[in-house]
Amino acid sequence: MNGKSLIPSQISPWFWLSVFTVFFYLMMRITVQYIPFDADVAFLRIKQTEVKSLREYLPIFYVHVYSSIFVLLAGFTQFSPKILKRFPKIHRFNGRLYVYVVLLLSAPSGIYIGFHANGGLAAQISFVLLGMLWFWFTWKGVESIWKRKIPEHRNWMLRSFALAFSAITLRLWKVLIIYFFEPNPMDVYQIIAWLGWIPNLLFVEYLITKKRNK
Amino acid sequence: MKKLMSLLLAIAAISCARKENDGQKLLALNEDFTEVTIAKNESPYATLYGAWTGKLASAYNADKDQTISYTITRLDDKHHTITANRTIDGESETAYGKFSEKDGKISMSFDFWADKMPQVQKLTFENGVLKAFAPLKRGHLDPVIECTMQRSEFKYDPLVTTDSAYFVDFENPKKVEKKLKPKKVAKVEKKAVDKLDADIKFKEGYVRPSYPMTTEAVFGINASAKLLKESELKNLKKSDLQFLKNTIYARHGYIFKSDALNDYFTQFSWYVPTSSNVEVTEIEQKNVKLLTRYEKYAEEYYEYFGR
Repeated sequence: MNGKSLIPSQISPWFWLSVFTVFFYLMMRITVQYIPFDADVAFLRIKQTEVKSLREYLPIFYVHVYSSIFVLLAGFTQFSPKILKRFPKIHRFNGRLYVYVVLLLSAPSGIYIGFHANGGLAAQISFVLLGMLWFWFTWKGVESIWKRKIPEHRNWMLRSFALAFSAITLRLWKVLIIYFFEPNPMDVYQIIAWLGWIPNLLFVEYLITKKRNK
Repeated sequence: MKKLMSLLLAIAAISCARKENDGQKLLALNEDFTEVTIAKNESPYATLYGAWTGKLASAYNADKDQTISYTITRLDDKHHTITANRTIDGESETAYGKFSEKDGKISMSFDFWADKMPQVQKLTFENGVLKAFAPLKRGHLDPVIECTMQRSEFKYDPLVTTDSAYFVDFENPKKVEKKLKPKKVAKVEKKAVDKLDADIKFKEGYVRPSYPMTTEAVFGINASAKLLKESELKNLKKSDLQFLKNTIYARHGYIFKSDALNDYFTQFSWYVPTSSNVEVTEIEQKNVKLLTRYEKYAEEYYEYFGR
């Protein structure tokens, strides 16, 4: 790694910090709705069939909700070359936190709730696939850093975080689509299920190829 | 890229801010069904409310007899006004009129247009009998033909539906005109102000209000016949969910406070408004509970950042 970030450096770090703050605030608002623990609140209001018929659904759902906020928090510091250079301990600590939470909690629970997702088969395939790819990319990132293959590690982790970031992009697409077209809720859900993560992945693949060809 | 991000941020921020103060306004859209009481309506006009049908004989030609029906939905004591749905030979419209009461006899007169002429139809209600009068000769008040109306009896049937007729809630437009802040105008030069005024006028002239409307997803769902499943409601918008609830009450002859709902349901012959206090079945009660849960979710999440 030549110390240069993949993210255009002319954009001020303050801009990225404010972006992070806004998104983190939005996601935190969603998370705090589930505190204290309640079986009939927010998204769970339209999931009572699963909550009542599948005993494991509620605990796994809560694992996903409570763990995922740490994924975002840990992930945001990881792509700054300055932090990596000056505070490698922060990078290592947050990196460990990120992979432990993703591999043990967020990704497996995500795959499970993906099986029972709203929006029918199309949405379910998308969410399960998203969860499996997320697990796989994160695992490859861990493996490559064990072997000290730094560019490879960076690429896998970029892919992994692009999928983690779908938590935000999916909800942003939803707001945009509903603002302009006002479709029925499940029609939009089937669209955002795919739109939430595919463009993210294409975007980082573009960054990676651009970097490789330099 | 930077601009795009700022745009996304702005939209996200706006959508969040909107969530804060929308809670109360959204509730106003629906009828207040929180109390489903068991007591029957005790209005003095209870015997007059509802649907009536009769045959107006033609003086010249028996083939031209007209079937006429009135569904009386509201009598306003204070202003002495009356609202009904009037159907002649299958063509129905909302009719507005005045009424007066003397010695237990209610006299009503409805104004309407027919054959490009303003017309008046008089009705009387005495001892439980409703009579309609029509002038024998067009444009003359006397003599008149009299017609005794028969009451369409209310009968509860959980299987009646609204078919594929969309409901548009004309009483609750979604977008409200925004007033421009006077501060902004004051700072601009005189010429510019004129231009700005013209701009505002232009814009105001083209404000197109939009109304909540049911969607195709609601067709075929009956909330009275059987217990609804969650999966049946997932794709419904808030307007659909409210509409399903209102249809339950319409089947029981509920007289809606909203004219938009009264106008809508009187197009169906099965709707016989009888009371403003109705009792629903156990199945319907459970469905109302489920529908309310989905409605609340739709209110809180449909257009905002979240799922």
